[in-house]
Amino acid sequence: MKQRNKLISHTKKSPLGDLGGFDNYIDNFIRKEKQEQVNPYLATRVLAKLEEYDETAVIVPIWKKIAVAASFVLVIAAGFGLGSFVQGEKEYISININDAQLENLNFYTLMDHE
Amino acid sequence: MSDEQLIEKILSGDKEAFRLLMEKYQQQVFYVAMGFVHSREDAEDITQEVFIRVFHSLNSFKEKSLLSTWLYRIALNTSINYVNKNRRRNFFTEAGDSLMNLLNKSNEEKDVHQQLEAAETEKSIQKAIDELPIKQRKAFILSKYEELSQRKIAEIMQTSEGAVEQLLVRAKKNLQNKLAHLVGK
Repeated sequence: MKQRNKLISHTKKSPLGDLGGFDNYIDNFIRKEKQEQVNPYLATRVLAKLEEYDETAVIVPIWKKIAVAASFVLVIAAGFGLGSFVQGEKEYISININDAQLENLNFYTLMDHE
Repeated sequence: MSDEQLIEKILSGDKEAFRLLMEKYQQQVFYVAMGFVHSREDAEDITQEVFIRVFHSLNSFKEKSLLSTWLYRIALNTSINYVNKNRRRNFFTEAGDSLMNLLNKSNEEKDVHQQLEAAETEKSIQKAIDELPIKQRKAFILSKYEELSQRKIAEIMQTSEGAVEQLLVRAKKNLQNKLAHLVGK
């Protein structure tokens, strides 16, 4: 009852004001939700979670992180280096030109035909 | 013990001080979460997540604002993230509830009918609150569930008192529109 009066007096002061016909519906709804109390063991549960987190958290030193990143860079650079160092057999492309298919230019250049 | 003393102790590794801090603020955080999720289990999950976050980021707390203000901000953000993450699950839960209601309606008795009506009313209110735009919802929950002053709400939401007043007025209008059908009952 005390909590209800407190809620009503707060409602009257707030710009939400009196919500008319809805006021009771909403106040009852909120009052019902606020009857739920938090689990008294919640704090213990949170502390247990934090302990668990502390145990599982593996702190990797910064030098290890740098070493891992550097090794990646090294491997990639070595890949490029080796790739450009190795040269396979060069393939020469031969073009087969069949002269018979060419137009006989003499036809145009010889004086006899004029 | 003051909040400053508690923070100092926690930062020096005193877990019991953290327990005291939780016991001091857990109910407020829980109510904020209830305003968003309307379920005890979910609200407890959120409360737990809030305090784990608080523990891990306490060293970044600048003490420019009050600890309670900072806690409320974390509680609001965690609740919103939780709601967004579980939106799909809620859809299926609601669908399941509606189906159960339909099945139950077949054994109609006056008492059962009244209970169903009350449950429907609650669901309408819950839906109306949940459908408020996010800023209005934040202001509404802090005002109604936490019974905070406009000044405190403005501080938490990092806005002006006038803006909070506007948000609350708009929230009221939205609720009135969405719950108009209840008045006729």
